[in-house]
Amino acid sequence: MTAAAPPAQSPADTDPVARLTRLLHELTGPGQPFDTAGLAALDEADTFPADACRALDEAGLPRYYVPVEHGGALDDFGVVMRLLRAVSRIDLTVAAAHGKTYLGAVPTWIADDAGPARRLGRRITAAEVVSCALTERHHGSDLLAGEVVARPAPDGGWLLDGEKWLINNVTRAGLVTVLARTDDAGGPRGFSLFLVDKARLAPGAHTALPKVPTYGIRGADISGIAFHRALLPADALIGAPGQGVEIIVKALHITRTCCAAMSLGAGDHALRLAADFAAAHRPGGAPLAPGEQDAALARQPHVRRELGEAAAGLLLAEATGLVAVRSLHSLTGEMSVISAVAKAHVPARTDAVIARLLHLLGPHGLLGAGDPHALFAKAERDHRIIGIFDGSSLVNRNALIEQFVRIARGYRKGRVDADGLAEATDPHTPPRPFRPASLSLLSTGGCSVVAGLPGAVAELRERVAAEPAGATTGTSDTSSASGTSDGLRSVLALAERLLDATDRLHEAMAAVRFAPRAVPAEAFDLAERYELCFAAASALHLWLRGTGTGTGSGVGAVPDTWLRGCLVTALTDLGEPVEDAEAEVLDHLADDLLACPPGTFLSLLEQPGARNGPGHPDAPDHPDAPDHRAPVGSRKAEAS
Amino acid sequence: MNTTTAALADALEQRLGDPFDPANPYGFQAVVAAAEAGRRPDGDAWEVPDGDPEPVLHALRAVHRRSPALAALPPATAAGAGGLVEALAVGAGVGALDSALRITLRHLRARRLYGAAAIDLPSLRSLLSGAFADLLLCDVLATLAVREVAAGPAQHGTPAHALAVLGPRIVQGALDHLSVVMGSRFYIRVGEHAAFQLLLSETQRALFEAGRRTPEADAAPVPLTELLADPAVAALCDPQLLAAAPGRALTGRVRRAAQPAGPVHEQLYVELVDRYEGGRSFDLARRALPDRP
Repeated sequence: MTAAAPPAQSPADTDPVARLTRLLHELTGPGQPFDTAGLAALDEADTFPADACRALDEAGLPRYYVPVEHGGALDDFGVVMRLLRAVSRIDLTVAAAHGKTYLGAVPTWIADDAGPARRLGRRITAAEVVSCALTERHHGSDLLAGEVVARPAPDGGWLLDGEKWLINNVTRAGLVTVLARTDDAGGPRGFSLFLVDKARLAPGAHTALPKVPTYGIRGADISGIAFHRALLPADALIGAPGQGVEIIVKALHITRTCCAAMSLGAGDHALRLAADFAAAHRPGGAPLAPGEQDAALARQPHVRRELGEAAAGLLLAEATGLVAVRSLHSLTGEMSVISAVAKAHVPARTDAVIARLLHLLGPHGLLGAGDPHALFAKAERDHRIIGIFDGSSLVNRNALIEQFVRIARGYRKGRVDADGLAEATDPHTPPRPFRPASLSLLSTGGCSVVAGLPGAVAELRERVAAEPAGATTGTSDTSSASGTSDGLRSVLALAERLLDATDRLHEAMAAVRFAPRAVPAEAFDLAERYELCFAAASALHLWLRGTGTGTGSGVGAVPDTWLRGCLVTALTDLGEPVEDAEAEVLDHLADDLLACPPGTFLSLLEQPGARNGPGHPDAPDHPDAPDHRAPVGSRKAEAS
Repeated sequence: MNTTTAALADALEQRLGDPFDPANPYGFQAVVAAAEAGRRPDGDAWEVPDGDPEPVLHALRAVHRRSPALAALPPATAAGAGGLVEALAVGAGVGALDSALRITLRHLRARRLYGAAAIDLPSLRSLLSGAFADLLLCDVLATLAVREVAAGPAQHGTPAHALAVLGPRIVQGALDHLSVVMGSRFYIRVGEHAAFQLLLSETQRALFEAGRRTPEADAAPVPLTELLADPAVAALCDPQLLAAAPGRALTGRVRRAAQPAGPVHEQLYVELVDRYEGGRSFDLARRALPDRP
């Protein structure tokens, strides 16, 4: 979010995200693996984007799926998040297909057995595809109902039998992580995990099931696999017998944050398409001629407001995802709460943003001639998968509800891991090493991000109190930097309302009681509100860390437009009052969005233009580039 | 609803037969197969005759229950003014929502999750009853619109205006909620639930394609609360049931509608299941359908 001092080296030389984004741009030319028209044609034909995945292999992306201690380059989950987000901004099918290896390998990292992890790391860095087979035809997300069984073989090893279905990449994969019942009685200790190496199976021991045609990500290998008393070596077991469910649940704490990354990329893509369309067309869909910008659809007040709301929604989602992924390192023991929030909130938020943009601009032609390659329609179809895999929003909200009592207690008692929270909310500091052993099935302390909200608001109050009397900007716009009283007071007013809503919410959460398997429907509404409080609290923490007060690593004053947009959006979605004047910040966010050059994105982490990378004509450091280096929300106040 | 109003729709339903019958050439399986092959199902069976707006509305719904893409809107002259054509277009979407709700209910009744019948999970029931309330809300607005009944504060437009502004989003929002309940079954284009994704995508296109009305340009939010308090609304449907419609939150800047207590949702759910098992449409008409549970 902040404008850092110029590094000695070009970011493209040292930053894997900058390197990948530049490469992706180079590969989007006609006939190249990431050519838009080519990818759209593959989607139309339900064909796997093999060239694009191969290009990612050649770019070394698989190294970032393997922890450094196991021979890879993964030492910061935030980097993987940004890499997959960059790919998702171009094509979600490619991201979901390639990223599946990351998801499939996580159980082995969690089990933390150096030998198997090192071997798997070598395979992945050599571009082996790894899949993860959890679900079955009749049980969906209900893993404890799984019928695939593994029994000890007479001469050692295991015999695997049964069918896994609706599995991403399982036909293409050489290695498959499989959850199987190892105790007929089932239950939480009745399942184990196996890393199945297809190359080591006897002929006929497994069958690939047909590709299942899907609504979106049509080229993806969504299929199944049937095992026929397949003999697995003893060393295929991941962890100990009976640990399968525990390992998977912990692995989901990681992979669910990864889903948020893909969701954010797809949301960036959809919003960019919509904004570009609105900027280039008249109401009704006729293209604008040069010099007719004043007649653009985007200049209509209701379109501008909706674009701003969409931008704020995605920034709120980004704040959630960013804090969640950094929490893997520093608030590891709270991930049962945080990962559920991220997986429930970010895809649902992005789906909602896409739907509203469709409602707004579809009638003007966004589903037709205004989008020649039907990219928006594809983005809408593709993104819906993110809310489904790795547990739906319902499943994740259920996981949250089961922790309501602990969360509410932690909030009431002000339990905050201050160091962990500070690290999770400062994206400019390197994260501490990830310790899988700190993952926990339930967060005993609650959630520091939300429990830290009262402290964050108190800090805001102190900043306002420290402002010299009469120090106001005198602008009604208030798209100002944090050093100005108007902006700060406006932030504080919104934050106070958020805190009040959060207090009331925790009281309601503490009162929820239910019998097993009878979670009341009203509790899901509370869970959804909790996600909003988490998202808004994340945004506030991030902003506070970046304001250069001496406690954070940011430099200079950070604009507050984006934060106010996030708070307005969260309060609106919570059903809390927001004044018309406060909601006007959404219009300013729309202006920031529309000021970005085509193909670039609003983001808390990147300068506009970063997608195209340094050296590209649209990139901010290119001599021919327009001056659009300002971080999100830094638009100057209009002269009164 | 009298028999004359239902006659067109009933005749179409009988001609098209049980959508869940895999052997039916006009059933879901055939419709999905045709869509996958990029062709239109054969025959004149889909033709919606010309006539008065309300019977045409229900006839359109009969087609939308199979495939919105197969229902061409009648010419404006058939339905009177252009605003009525818009009301027909949006009101027909209730047919697609009927089928989507039916498919979802069918799916949940056959599925077990976490050791119990999926349909017994309170959260899923609540989503179903909410979608049903959304359907009823849309139908109330559509029925008043095609009857050209004035309701609500006159200075803020008519039910037709409310339908045009809110109807598409309510229908689409309800379909989205149901897609969450369907989970991965929503996302696949084969099998007994494959019609769901087709209904969702075709409805989306029908409601938001180029040339549809763009009501967002209207500055004033729809005064839905006042409109729903009008006696003309209560004459069609219990306002308490309509209060359970999540789509009510789409009226203005507020994004969250207060939900009525559990008994209202339970009443909706019981009614929903009753109609499902009895082969009745979920809209206000409660028409007899050829669908078999």
